Amino acid sequence: MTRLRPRAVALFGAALIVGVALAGCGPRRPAATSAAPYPVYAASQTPDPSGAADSGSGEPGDPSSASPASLTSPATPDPAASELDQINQLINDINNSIQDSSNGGGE
Amino acid sequence: MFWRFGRGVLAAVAATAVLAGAGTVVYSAQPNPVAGGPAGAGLCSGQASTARAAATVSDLRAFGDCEIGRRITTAVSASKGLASSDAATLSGYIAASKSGLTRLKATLDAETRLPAVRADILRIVAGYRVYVLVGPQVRLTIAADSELALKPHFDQLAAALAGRISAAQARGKDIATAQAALDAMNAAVAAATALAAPVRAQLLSLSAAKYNTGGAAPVIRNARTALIQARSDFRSAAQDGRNVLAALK
Repeated sequence: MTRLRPRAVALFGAALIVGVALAGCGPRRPAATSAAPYPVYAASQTPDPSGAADSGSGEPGDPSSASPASLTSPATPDPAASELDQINQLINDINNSIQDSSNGGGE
Repeated sequence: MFWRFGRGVLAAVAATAVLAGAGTVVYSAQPNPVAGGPAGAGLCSGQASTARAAATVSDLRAFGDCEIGRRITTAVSASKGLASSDAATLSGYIAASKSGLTRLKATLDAETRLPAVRADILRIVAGYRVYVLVGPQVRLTIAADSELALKPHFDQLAAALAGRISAAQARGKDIATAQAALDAMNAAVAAATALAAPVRAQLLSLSAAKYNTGGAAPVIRNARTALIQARSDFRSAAQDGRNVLAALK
């Protein structure tokens, strides 16, 4: 009895290590499409030489049907809207100048 | 209930305003230590009270020194961050006020007779008009320059928006609303620019001497009114620009 106990503990420990190792090596999600650093084409597809677009299969849920830019790039701010924001800021600064001009200082 | 509460609040605000107004009247009813000279407001009120009570050479000199000091501080403060296209001219006006007041202080400090001290104190106001002329002249000229500097921004925006409208029209989209908003934007910018453009020259032509003869105060008043209207027009123009973007979505 006393001889079996260390062996049981060693077996349990080895099983635990193997289990953890197997769990770490399991398949990962999502699959290859998002991990690939370059567009992946189906065998029947020919890459667009201009690089303009990759239409993919067009099926819902097909990762290749969305353009790579829309998946990875942040939304670009609208230059016209940015210009308007800048204009509004300048108008607010003008407000301050006009308000400062009406201080008589008790003269 | 809400209306009754609102009326109660309004009555309280009105009563406060009346009391505040009464306080101002009482304060401004105090005679100036030297008739026609500075009022002794704020920072110099203590020296003004002493000078009013005693009116000795030293009391009036202390009062005059204080009034000169606060004007120099105001002038220096006005020159900070001056970046408009008229910055050099405005800096020249401010520097002239500052150096003139510094010389006046030296003159005042050397006076030994009451009539001479009184004459110097009168010159603090009439010779420089720091608060009612130089300050508004600087701030309003900056405002006018800043408003005129908006024009290139709107021109660039108008070109971009016109391009988008053309592109939308080519795609068969109804562009009537967007085009109307763009026209309104351009009209508002033109109106604002016309209001702001003459203000700068009108303000820069003013002087303390002109203020003393009554010719400057109406110019400053009209300049302020024109710039406020121009700012409002520019704000409308910006909203019109946003309306163009919304109509093209």
